[in-house]
Amino acid sequence: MRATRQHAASGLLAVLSTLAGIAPVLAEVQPDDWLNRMAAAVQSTSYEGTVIRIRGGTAEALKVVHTVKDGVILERVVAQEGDGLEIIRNGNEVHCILPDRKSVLVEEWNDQSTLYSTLPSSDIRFGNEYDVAIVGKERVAGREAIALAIRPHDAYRYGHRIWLDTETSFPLQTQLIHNGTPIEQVKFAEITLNQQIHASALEPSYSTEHFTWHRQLSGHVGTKVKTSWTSDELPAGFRAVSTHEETMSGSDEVVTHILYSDGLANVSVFIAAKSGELISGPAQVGGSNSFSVERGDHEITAIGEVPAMTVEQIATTMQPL
Amino acid sequence: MEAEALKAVVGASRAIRPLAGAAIAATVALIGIFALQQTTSLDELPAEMAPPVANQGVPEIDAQLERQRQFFVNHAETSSQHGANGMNSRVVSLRFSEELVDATEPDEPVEPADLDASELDNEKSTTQP
Repeated sequence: MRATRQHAASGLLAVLSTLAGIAPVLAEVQPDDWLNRMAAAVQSTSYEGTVIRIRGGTAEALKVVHTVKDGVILERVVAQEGDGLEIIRNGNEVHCILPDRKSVLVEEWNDQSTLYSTLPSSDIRFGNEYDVAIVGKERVAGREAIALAIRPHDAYRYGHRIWLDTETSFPLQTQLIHNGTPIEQVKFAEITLNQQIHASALEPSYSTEHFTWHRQLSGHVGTKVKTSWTSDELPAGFRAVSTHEETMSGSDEVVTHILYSDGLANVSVFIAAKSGELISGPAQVGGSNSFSVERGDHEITAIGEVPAMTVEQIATTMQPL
Repeated sequence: MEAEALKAVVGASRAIRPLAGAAIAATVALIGIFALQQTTSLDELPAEMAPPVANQGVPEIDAQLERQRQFFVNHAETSSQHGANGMNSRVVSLRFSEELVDATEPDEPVEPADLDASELDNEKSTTQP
């Protein structure tokens, strides 16, 4: 009996020692270290679970299975409502099965994850346009998570909140924040991490025999160019990171595409020769906004995951030197 | 109808108004672009929101809508390449691509295994036998 008590006491001591050891370790991890860990976790973690994606008050549930085998990304994403979209990914080749249209859309993707195709990284110039902080701990999908907040310094960009699994640094929940309110959100309702994924979990649930197959090129064709178009009233921190000429799909029309970035938010500006009646003004898709305007013989369209005022300011101030 | 859809529909009506001649097909496409997964049909819209129906100018507005869609897709792809934000840009751009499926007609039957990126054009469609 005495031996049992001693054993229990030593066990308790071991647990307390472990907890005492973990707490300082977590506390010492800096916010941008968490971002680096997150980037690594998204690339290497196998996961299976249900994701709720919320945008503009509309929710969509997706079943997600993701693993990497011999360096090849294997993934299956199934919409639980609506059109029953099913995404089967093997490496860079992606089959998007649209059962209600009896169609398969074949695409080529180069990013690491369908769910988290792009994520904030520690490369952001924190301190200028944004700051990042650890703002708390919560439970997400039944797991302990640490909450990070990336806060913009002005109204020209959105903020982010990210909940990272404390054990693996995998992002369990992400929010795009505008004026303190989430406008887009991805959240795991339940998840298993780093468990063995069976091959059957990655197979399509539909026979695509007799489906119509469509294939798109992996990306728009672009050629790096220099352009005389610029804006001297860009919101603070935005600078051009690439300029391409692109041929529009299904036509010979060539447009100039300038990508501006503040290190986190991206805004594309498309400059095209005027052709017919332009649908000018603002448009919105979830957290993405666009603004189109005519400038002489050209049509300018700015698009980005930024507030409407940002794309409007950029589009309306673009001009050739 | 969700707030986003409402905004999209209002935006659609406003965008079309200056164009003397937008057909329902084009308006459906516009709602598809700006509301993406909204399923409200035109029949469900209040009369004051219903877009104007006319019989001219369809190719022109269709071309403009197609251009807008491509801009969103190209932006999502380029953003992704530069590794910045837009956390579900893939899912969003995929929803745009779905719109393209409806715009294509079946071509000659080809086995999926025969699909070769080098010989395929944008939006080219094939039918699996």
